[in-house]
Amino acid sequence: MALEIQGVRKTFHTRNGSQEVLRGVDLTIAKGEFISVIGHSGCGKSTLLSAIGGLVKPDAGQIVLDGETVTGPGPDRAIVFQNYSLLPWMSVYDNVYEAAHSARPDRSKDESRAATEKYLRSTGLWQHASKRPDQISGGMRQRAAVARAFSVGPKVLLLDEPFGALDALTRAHLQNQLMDLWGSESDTETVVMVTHGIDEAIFLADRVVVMANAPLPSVAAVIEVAIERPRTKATITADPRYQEVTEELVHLLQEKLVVPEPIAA
Amino acid sequence: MSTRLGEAPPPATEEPGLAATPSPVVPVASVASRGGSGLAAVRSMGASFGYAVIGFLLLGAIWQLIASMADGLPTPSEGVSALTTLLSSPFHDNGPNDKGVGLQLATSLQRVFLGFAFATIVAVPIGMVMGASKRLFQVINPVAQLLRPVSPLAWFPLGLVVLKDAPNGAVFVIFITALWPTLINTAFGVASVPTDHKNVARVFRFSRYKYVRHVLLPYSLPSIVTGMRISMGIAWMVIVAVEMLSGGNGIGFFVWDAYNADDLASVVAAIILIGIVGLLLDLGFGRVLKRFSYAEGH
Repeated sequence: MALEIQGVRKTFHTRNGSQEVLRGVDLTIAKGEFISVIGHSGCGKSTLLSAIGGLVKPDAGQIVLDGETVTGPGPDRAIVFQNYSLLPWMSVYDNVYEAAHSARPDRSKDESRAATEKYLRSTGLWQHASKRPDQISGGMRQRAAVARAFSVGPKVLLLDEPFGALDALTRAHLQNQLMDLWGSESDTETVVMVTHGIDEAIFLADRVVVMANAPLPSVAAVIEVAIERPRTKATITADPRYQEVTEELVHLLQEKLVVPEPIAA
Repeated sequence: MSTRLGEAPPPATEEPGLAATPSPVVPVASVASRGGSGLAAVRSMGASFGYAVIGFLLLGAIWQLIASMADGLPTPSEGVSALTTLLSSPFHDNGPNDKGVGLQLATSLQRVFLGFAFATIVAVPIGMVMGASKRLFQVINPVAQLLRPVSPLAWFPLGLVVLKDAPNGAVFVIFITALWPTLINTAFGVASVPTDHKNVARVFRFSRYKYVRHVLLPYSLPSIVTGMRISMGIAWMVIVAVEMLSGGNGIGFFVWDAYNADDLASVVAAIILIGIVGLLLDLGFGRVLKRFSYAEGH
């Protein structure tokens, strides 16, 4: 069983006209895969992620997870949002606990508390659990958002440019932490991550999905990253296969899928 | 005050309601971080006190100048001495025509609180419903926009006829006064919950109760309290006028009574007292607001 994206289309209608953001996206993601989705701004990658999360309803086509069509958000999927989206009036602990508990009504309060503690500990936030989001750093906020998503115990974890706003060192640290959580401790099998960073996309993923902008906003290429795990930044950058994939992606993104400069009005 | 009460766009627009809220909705963190070190804080407090003294001295000088030119106006020193006389026996009660100024203020405050409480009880739920439903907003907003610019004093005759009693008529006027700012601010606070917060509630499947309790209320409370603060400010201004009409007692009656007794120095003293009470009310709401504010995390 797997996550299947079948002929998904989406057009947004605004006052200034319609914009087609997804045209016939087809993609099958196997259980246990880590997928990176990369593309220029406006290629609909975040919309695709929202559709998998059940926040956006496709105009046509469907998303099927383990044989069931996605009709809305569910406890089998959790999203780490681009801008953390922690509730600013709640402590870090409550942010994780309230989400964990309401997403999983099948769990007892104690089980939700246990899940909250587990992921706050494994993201190194346990001693900061009583602080509010404005009292911790951006990196810690993002870890809290990751802990919140994992605490639900989703089969599929969806990450929307999760580390984009962080400095390089913090980003590298969080990438490793994400790998550890996904690889060992959690119930999460499949990860779909939208990103702008080529390095990040390759380092984390089994396959990199490249999306194109209009006029054909859809999957332009899928590139295999056949590098065995565990990976580290040091070993992977020296790997010739890494360089090969990087070159291919750079070529795709900067030459084939280049977005024309907007013409000044 | 006019900031918030200005023309109201429908709640569905991108412009978040908080942006239109008057300045009091300030994220706590930015206020706190301005404090600086202890010594510097004391110094800056001392400086602002000094500037305030300069302001009052200037006011006194201008007043003295005007009083020396216009006949019959009390001088600042006459005003201050009237104030000390009034405050020497604030709570005496020698029948309806001779009550201490403290009692008069207490009567007015009581009316203001009563009308304000009724208004809040009515305005907050209606405002929340307006903010939550675009359609109900479109039903209620035109009515509110039509009635809002009407001076609340125009309602006084209706209050008199229905309640058959002048003091209750005054409370009714305060009720009308305090209705609109709270109603409109509540509606905007509720309508402007960011999509990010809504998405969190959807992805993690918050129940309706949990959404209201953990997202909607905490997000909109600063707007609601700001609306209440504006309502209270206007109510405290309106009570003076309405008590001049309703007569009998209260600080507005006191002012009118002093004028009729040709005691303008007491009028001046009352103005100062009314200002101080209004300032304290506003400071109180400022505190409440701070309590319910939160720092925007990003």
